[in-house]
Amino acid sequence: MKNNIINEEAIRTLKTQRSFRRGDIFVYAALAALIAALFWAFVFARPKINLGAINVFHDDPIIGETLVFQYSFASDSYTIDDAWTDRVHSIRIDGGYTVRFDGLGDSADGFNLLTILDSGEAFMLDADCSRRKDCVGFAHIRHGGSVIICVPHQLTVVGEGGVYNEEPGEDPDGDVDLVLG
Amino acid sequence: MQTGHLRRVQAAFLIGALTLLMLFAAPAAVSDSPNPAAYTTKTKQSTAFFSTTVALSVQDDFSKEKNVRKFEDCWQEVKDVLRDIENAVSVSNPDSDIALFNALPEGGSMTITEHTANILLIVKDMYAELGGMFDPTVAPLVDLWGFTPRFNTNRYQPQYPYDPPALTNGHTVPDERYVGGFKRLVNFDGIIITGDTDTGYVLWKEIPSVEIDGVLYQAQLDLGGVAKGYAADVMRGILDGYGYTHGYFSNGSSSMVLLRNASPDAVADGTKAFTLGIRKPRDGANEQSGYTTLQIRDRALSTSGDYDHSFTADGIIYSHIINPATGFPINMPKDGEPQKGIAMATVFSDSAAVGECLSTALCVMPLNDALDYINSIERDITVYMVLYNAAYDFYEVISSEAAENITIRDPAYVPASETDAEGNIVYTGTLLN
Repeated sequence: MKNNIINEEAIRTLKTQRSFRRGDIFVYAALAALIAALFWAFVFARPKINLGAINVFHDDPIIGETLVFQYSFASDSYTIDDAWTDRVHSIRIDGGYTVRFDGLGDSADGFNLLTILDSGEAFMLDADCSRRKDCVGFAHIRHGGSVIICVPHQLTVVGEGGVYNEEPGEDPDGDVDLVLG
Repeated sequence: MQTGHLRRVQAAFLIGALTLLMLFAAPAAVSDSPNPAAYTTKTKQSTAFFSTTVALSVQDDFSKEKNVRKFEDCWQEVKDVLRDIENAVSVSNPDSDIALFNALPEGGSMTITEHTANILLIVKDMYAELGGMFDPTVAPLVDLWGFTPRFNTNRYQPQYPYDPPALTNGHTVPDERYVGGFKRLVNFDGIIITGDTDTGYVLWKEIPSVEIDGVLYQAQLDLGGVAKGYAADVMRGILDGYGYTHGYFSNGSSSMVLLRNASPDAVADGTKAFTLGIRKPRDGANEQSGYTTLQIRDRALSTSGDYDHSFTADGIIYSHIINPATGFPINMPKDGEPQKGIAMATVFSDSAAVGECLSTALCVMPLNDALDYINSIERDITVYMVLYNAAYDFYEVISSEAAENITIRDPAYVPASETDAEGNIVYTGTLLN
């Protein structure tokens, strides 16, 4: 009996209680703020890297083309071809890596320095390929499809993939289709 | 009764036949009618030509297997023709027309193949129109200043008496006697073309040789830049032949031909245009690689400048673009003055080959001559130029485009031209006054 009365009273209390109390407003506001912050952080504030990987190829007249080095932005890891482990070295720098390729060119003693940035960029920092150093002058790779080539050292650096694009040459995250220069 | 019944049968038969015809024809009509909204993009690149990256990008309905195959065929033909052109005119190929012609003595002649002849005929016209400011016989000077392919290797060996013993990061200005002597080899009037497409073309070297320190030097040709533009024009012809209307071909990103753009945004806004950025010849105030962006389609694009194939020594930029009149790279500073001049010239036209000649010559001409030339010609071209003065930390942009249509993306690049009532470009800046 007593239990029933208590239960009935409890039920009545619950029923007559206002469904929305003043204190609840703060809870809801905090929750909304949290959701908004998470949304912003994951959708807008996350740095948009438009690159999936950096591939470095070497073209040998006899062996042909070898994928010498590959860096993946997603896993922040790289691989070096077995035959090249004594000639390719990577060091961590502030904001990325600098990768050194040695033993290049006809005299087998040339080098290239490739910088890869966590922000989704890659460029040739330096090389001793020639006086002109055309490879250093190439536009920086910022999206899949862009290339940097060093002709005397037979190196080709290719940007691959990206967050949004499947086809090389497109840059949907940037606002430019092509760069003339 | 019989006649009426026959008529109805005939009518039914006719209607039935027409219906069947439409049913069979309709799918074919629908599938063949171009629908750019359904297009996707395929791009192929190669680094095997002209020592640079060439890119062929085409937009088509690639959900159909036949269109995928068509693109593969087109790419193969593109590569084959690029190889033909390069084999004909590249000095890196010892059997090319140009390599063999360069080896000829004064007074020599030889038959040349079609691509070589086509390029030289275009150059003949442009040489005359540009008052000699574009002249491929600067080749010996290009070699003297170290810009030919043989210097672009780490196995360099000195070959000629004027060669530096080794390639170092420093630079020595070549011996004045060679600059002066090789200047006498610069004279495209002395390169004569005879014949026609039926009988074939013959090329004559009627430029007297020059002797320096007991060594005889002959006139030479360097068709590098204009050959890239010519190749782009030929590629557009190939794309037309395959029926492509959307896409582009880029030859080293300094020479391009654009068709239309079928990307979803371009189709949606009705422009079917590409958004093009023109690369900065110098680092500016922000990291974007273009100093301006614009919408463009169905055009040939060319650009030349002192930032590409050049080296800097003692703060002076030595460009591979040689001034035919002085024998020196463009923009050599006068004593006591900062280096200044036209850093980059960009031309939009109907022919990439013509654009190459124009953009190169505009870098060579003094600014006033360049503006006079642009204002006087009848050609349908659009020009952008970037001026610099080493004493200042900003750059000026001159364009034949109306000021309100130009979008500059970097505050370090300042518009410095107006179009007057007659449509002439007027320089309003300060760097080159």
